[in-house]
Amino acid sequence: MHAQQQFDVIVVGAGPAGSSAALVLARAGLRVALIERGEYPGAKNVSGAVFYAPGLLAELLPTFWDEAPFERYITRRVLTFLGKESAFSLDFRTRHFATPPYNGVTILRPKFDRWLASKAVEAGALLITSTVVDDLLYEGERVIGVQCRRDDGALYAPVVIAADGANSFLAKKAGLQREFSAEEMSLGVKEVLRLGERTIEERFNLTGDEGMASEYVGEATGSVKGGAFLYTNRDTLSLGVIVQIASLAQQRVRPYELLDRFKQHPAVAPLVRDGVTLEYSAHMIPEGGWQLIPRLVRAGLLVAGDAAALVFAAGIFLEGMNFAVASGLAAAETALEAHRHGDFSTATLTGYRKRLEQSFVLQDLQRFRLTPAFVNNERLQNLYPELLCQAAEQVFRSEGRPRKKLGSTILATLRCKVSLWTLLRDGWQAGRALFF
Amino acid sequence: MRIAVCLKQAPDCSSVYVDPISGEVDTERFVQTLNAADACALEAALRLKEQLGAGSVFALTLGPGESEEVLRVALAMGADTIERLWHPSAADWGPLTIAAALAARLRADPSLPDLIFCGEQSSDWASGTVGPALAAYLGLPQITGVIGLEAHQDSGQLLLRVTRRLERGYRERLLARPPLLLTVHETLNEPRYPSLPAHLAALRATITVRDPLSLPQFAADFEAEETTIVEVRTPRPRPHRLPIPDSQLSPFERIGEIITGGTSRRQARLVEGSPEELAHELVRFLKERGFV
Amino acid sequence: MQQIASEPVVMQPIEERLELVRFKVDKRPHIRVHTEACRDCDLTPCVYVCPAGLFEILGGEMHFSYEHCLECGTCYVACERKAIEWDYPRGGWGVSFRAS
Repeated sequence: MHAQQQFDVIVVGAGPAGSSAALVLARAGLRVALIERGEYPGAKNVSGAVFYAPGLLAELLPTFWDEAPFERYITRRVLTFLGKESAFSLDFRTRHFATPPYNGVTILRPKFDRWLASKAVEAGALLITSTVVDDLLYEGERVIGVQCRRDDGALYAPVVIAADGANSFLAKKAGLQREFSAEEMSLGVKEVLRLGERTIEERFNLTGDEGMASEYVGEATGSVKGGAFLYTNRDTLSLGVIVQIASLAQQRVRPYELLDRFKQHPAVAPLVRDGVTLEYSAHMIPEGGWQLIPRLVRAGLLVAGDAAALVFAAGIFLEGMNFAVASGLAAAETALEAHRHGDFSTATLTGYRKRLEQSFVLQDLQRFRLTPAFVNNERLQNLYPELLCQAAEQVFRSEGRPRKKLGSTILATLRCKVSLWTLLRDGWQAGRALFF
Repeated sequence: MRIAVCLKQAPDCSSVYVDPISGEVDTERFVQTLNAADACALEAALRLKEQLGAGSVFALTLGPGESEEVLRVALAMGADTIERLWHPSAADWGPLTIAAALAARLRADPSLPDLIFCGEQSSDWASGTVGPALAAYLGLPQITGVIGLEAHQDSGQLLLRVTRRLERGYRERLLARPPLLLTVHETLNEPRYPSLPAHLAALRATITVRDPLSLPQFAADFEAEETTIVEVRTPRPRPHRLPIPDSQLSPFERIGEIITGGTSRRQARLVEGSPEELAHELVRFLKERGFV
Repeated sequence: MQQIASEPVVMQPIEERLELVRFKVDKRPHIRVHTEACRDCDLTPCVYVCPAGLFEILGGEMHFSYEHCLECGTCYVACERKAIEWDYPRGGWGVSFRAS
């Protein structure tokens, strides 16, 4: 074995999880290899992309707010129920999200991931781009390195952090993750539209660096289970649909057709008018929640980020990158501890799971573990948004005739489509999933 | 056998997006890589060195800090030495000045390399000038547009069998001996995928940077001779030229001739007679049609 | 209730979208399909779920291409017959997102 192929830690994947981990490890003086299959970090990465709780990184990087290539900070959150011809929105904005540490910022992954990886490189990590990791190397039960898809492609380290993304090939090869089912995985397709800074600020009621994160359910994805999003960047919009793969296959709809329909919905079309599409992208999202989280540890191996299905897709929450960063940091701390003790056994590395259990990462995912199933409820997906819009329409309708009181107007609308009993049951489930 | 290869960092062709309406190139979307033809030039140099079993390959680029990427690729692929030339003013240099700088660098060594490989043209401006200009500055013979290359030992001397690409699908076969400069087309070969140890070594390498203005034989006053770019346009398909319809025809027939793309029969007339009569007829014909 | 006639949705061909994406195409395919398994597949989920529209049934036969793959992995997850062998392309090849 050549000395140059021996490292203290190998991190696979230079996304938010991998680069955060590499940054911490390199700062602690360890020899870190950060392996990325793209030509540059971010080349293969797609998110909406709102990076919530960016303060996680700002703590590590004091210059974060001056340097990090983020687009806008989110001060406006909108949730819209789309009917066929109508839309019902909850629109919230606050200046309290307008100062560092911001609640969330929009980013463009190719720029942001590249920047974050460059910070790990500055700290001393060796970024190995254009290199796919095909498999793990073992000594007995212990992972001792990775096999890259290049001649003489073995690299060795007593601990490997697999932050290799949603497909999670390494965790599967290590026997930590099972094969995915089409019910627990989602597909996101996205477009970036150029609109210009002025237009965005005027169209979305924003000033300066303020931004908006807007999510849609209901008609946004037709009868396919899922939702849509529209986020403001500096001079572009990121918009897309996220749909359950099984439902997409069942309904026999193509994802890009859903994107077209969403863009042309009467409530969305005026927002994207004259936008010039810059790029189209797609990515798989492990939205299965608690059920999908693999075993996170085995001797010499830690799994982080999307690879560990640490995605918080709980209805009104759609978070992934903060979970990735937090898990990457926890993995790094665990690897550091293992190095201090010279012990890379499963027992020591289980500290990683404990760290995640103490943080929001596993707590949120566990607390909201019922939410994915609830969100995929047929009625919530297709019926209620339309009913909500119809009810609103009845309430606001002015026809020069005597009105009924609002309660009976709304009930009349609801009851012709859904029984009171079902409504109550769904209400209870919503409560269980999100409120108590 | 000492071989030098001149490399350039250029936007990868697949990353170039031209707006179909405005014809504008979106430079923000560029992904900068080792120019495809240059990668083939390097591969050709490395194969030649390997075939001969001896020699060295020197990879040279002129470019800003980011362009060190291409030298790392060269090192990973197997170049023995690498060097970057740069001066902030070089950002404005045209191909002739760049060639002069490269020439000055190669002359700075005790002797010129036996062979110099360049890419035929870069994916951005594609002027195809640097290689030929470099050969001219160094006083070397050159073969451009190489799409086939075989090396033979001929009574102890290296003989190159070169296939050159000409226009309209023509090919030219040449025999050549070093010293020589070759510019290589991007279809010559398939550049290798470096091994992991080579890739790692290249990532860790420190790269020598030299200021071309400090080279004794370089005078940066070539700007006057540079080509001036007046306008850049996206190529458009050449319009199909329609013959002007015969004005003697009825409007109906003329329109018919235009919309059939002028495929209606040609109106030819054979005139016979003495030279005088023929000349008269010709003048009459030209006058009638408004040519004279 | 009054029904408002809605504008028909204009579908943009997927090729137009893919034109905006940068692909460095490797000569070695990273997708393999055991097409015998596709012959009697009624659902053909891959045809619908692929965000690049890479799978198509033509004359009862599965045809696919790998060149414009966005590398999401949806196809092999959707395929109930596990007929799709899917791997990442060689490092540095395949799709590169720039503006997302």
